[in-house]
Amino acid sequence: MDTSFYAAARAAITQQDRMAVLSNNIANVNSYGYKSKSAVFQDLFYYNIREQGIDDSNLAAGTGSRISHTNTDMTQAGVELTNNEYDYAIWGDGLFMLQHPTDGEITYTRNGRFSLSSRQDGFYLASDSGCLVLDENQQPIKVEDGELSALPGIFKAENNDGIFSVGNTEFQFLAKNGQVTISQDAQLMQGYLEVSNVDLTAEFTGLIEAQRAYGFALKMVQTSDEVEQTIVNLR
Amino acid sequence: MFQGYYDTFSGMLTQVRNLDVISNNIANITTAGYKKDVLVTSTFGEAMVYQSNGLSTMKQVGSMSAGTTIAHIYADYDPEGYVTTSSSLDLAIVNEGFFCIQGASGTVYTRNGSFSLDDEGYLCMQGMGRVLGTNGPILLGTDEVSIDGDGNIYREDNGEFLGQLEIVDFEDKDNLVNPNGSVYISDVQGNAINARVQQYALEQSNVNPVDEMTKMMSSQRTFQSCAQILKMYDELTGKVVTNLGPV
Repeated sequence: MDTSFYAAARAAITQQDRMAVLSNNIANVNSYGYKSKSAVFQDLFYYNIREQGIDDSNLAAGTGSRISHTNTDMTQAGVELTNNEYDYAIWGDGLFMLQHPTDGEITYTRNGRFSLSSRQDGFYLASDSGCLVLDENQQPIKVEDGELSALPGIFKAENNDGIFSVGNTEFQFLAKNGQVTISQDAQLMQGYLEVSNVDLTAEFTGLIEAQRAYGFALKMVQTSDEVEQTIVNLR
Repeated sequence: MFQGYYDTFSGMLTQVRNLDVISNNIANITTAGYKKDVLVTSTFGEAMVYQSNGLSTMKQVGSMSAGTTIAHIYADYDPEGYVTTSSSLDLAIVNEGFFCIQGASGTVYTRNGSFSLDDEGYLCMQGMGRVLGTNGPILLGTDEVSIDGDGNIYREDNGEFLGQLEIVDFEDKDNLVNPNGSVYISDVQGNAINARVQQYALEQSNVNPVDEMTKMMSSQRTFQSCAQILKMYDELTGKVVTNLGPV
């Protein structure tokens, strides 16, 4: 059938995917330490409209669009005063390092809502997801009589491009993010939490745009369908 | 059979192809740096028509075309507005020009400046290859960079110079071939130009919704008109077959 039908259907799917990214941002407008994501688009393959297999630049027609990847916006958001002694916010570049208590997997987060977790040899500082918070020497932080054995460490990689989201506002660095080191210029703020950096205005603008583009693509699907109908009704 | 029968058929075929092109434009209404395609139709096999009067002299009646066909499809390289983003590796070219990407089989060119870092820390276009600077691929290693208007990339913390983006332009953009994914390939070498680069911005798609919608409607109606005439020819043929038979 028509390429126009499928290209337009593909466009509707792409806009729907974009709405999924936008709605997840809106859903996390109140998640501490959440970093917003944005979808990046790319067009698909081109083919010769008149004949197959001929590379004529003047007869190329495309086949739709797709989302190539999503970017994570790691910019600093505002901080909120909570006065909770185990709440921490980072001012500047960097993330807290967390360690899963059983499999030892390392994740990173900007969500500094920590609490105490009871272990065999006392209390440890842990995140909401139950992971141990590590200090600058990458050791768990023991809490005795409300005193921390060390402050949570702040770590950063050489870049945050393509940082992998694992859920619970936690991230993992990939090989391309480079060496993870202690962040020198970041400041630890006790009794504060970093709010989500989702900009609702931008999200809703994007949502309106996506919705209109979606409707627009569906109109094209409808038109292609009507063309097919005309062909069917020829006899 | 009737010449007009085939003429209207070619009209329908052309309009379906026109809708294919419009559909792809609509699909890329939010693709950064996308340039819309425009389909140009032309008459097919124009011929003179003569009237023969049985003698040696021929009387010229006029010209007639045997339908319509696609002349070519061209990309409209009109620059479009910019949308600001929060990614330090999002770049837009303010005037004319293209970024150079080291593709799998030679250099490819693009206006879609939504870049990221590859596994080894080079500036790259996702799924395409490394972005070329004036001295080859640019090793960044960090996304904390500042890029000035001339495309010079500096580290943000210590101001170390990392490279300059290579931006080229073509005298004749008709030679650019668009294989896939917002990139173009060219047989001729592009001329390096001093383009202005804007960091934290992406060029929007230059597809105009009103334009495409109007073209879509007119294309559909042209198609339907052709179909209607095709039907008339069919009825006419039907009459010839049934009514002329019994003399």
